[in-house]
Amino acid sequence: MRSRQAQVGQAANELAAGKRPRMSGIARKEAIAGYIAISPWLLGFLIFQLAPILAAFYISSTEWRILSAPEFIGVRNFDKLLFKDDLFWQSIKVTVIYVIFRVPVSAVLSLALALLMNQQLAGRRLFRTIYYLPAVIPLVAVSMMWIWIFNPEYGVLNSFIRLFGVEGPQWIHSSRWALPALIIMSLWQVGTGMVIFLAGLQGIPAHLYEAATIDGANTWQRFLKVTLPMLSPVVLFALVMNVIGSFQIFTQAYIMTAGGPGNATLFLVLYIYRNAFEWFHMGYASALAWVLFVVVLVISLAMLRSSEHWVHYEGRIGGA
Amino acid sequence: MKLRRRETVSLQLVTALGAAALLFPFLWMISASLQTLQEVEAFPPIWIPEVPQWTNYVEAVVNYNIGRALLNSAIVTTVSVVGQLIVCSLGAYAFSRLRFPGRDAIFLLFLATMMIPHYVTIIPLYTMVWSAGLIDTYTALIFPGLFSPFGTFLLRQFFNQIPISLDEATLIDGGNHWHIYLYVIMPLSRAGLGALGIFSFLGIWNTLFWPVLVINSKELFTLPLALAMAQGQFITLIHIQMAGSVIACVPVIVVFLMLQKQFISSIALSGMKQ
Repeated sequence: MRSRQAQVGQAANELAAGKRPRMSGIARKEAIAGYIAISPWLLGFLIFQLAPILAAFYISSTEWRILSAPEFIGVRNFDKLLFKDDLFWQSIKVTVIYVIFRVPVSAVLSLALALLMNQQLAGRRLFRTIYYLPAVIPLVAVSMMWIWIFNPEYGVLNSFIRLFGVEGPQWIHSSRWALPALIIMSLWQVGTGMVIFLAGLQGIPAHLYEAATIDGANTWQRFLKVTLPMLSPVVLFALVMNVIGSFQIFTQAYIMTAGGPGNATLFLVLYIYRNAFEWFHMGYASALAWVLFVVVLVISLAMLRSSEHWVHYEGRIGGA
Repeated sequence: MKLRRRETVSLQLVTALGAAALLFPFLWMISASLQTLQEVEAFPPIWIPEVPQWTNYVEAVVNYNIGRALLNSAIVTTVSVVGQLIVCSLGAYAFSRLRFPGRDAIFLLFLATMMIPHYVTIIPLYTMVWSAGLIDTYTALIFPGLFSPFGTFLLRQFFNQIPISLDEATLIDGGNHWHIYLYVIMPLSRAGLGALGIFSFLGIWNTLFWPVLVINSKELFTLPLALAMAQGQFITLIHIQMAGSVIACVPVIVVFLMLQKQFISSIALSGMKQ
């Protein structure tokens, strides 16, 4: 499996090598069919993607309270968020902490699950279903379920902790524990990663393991020298996707904590939402959204860059 | 890899324990949805209610207007997914198979915008919907979702793997480009179409952000929105909330269990769910 970036890159190369169309009667027919086939999509692309991107670019350089006309203020929005807005930095801090803890832990957990599911265990399919199930149900329902699990008085989590004679934390009602609580909750949905890793594991040719065994490698060595290198492209892909997704966390915070207590779970997207749709600072919110884009882009590129050192591609000379 | 017996048994045990831990919140939710408020708040927690309170579900349906929300979600999701499959497959077909002036330029422009996240475009989109007077309409819920950049890209990659000789054979047999689309490309891309369909179904059925923005009136609430609003309004009625959550989960779980194989391959293929 290749990363989306790699696919985009390949597609671009294909284009560069493409041929110029000649216009004969047949070609004209083909072109007309082409224009008809593309037009619904093209209309959607222009209206719902390209125009909004260009507009977002302009809006981010204005002060716009939606009811009056936007007023051009240059880079003042960016100046404000970088140097004068503590809440922006709070939202960055909270989001980055969430990503830093959530992404690696869920990667390790989903890899472990995928390795388990790759064994010849009884009821493998049933277990795979169970592990994957939490990843498909609506996040709103998941959030409501976990509000109740985290309930300090009656919730099942603190009832369990109480069995040991200790009183559990206030979880989502405490500024110290709210963020860890959301991270714990996110680990419940490791099924997606598991499925991706499992597909990767099943693509590793058996003869590699056989050769390693003949060479005297034990289970652990086979894992380190065969499984991990062969799986590394999939790991990279899953990590990048998970980082992109985790940076955009919104629903849980919107439903469970409303960004609190004391802005302890004020994630960046929630802050964008507030600026745009509660306070109607459309310009400032757009600037924030571009910051989200740049942060995610830089981190993804850094991960892809670093992958040269740890991702092993079959058929490439050198490598890990 | 063959494992020794002892290892197998312990792995089996770990797997079962892990599955039990993951199922635990579900069971907890279902159990709470059938209890009285008193039972819900008891310590130590009660797992089996004395008398299952099926009326909690009736109350959830009435208080949260869940019947209507289910209908709305079903309409919005069906129209969006079907529309998206048509629009994206036609677009992908044009990109993959049909040569026309400007195609490559459009495709490059498209690639360039693909990395830009949804949240950048959502503010202009919202103002667009707002100034068009479409707030609080099905149109606002459905239209922006009809066109999916990711879906078009995914299908194009899929179509590119179908041998071009099949197109040529169709043309020689007297077919036209629409015959190729209908009788060659579409039937051979069932896996890709299924993957995109499931991917968008999950995304649209579960989404909260966009409905929160464009819908105000109860009659148009989608299921996630109805639940979210009820959560704020009936914050103490935990048993009713849990009943509502169970109702919201059931359709997705049913579809998931029915199409499990396709779900798994769609995630492995697209790897895009967050």
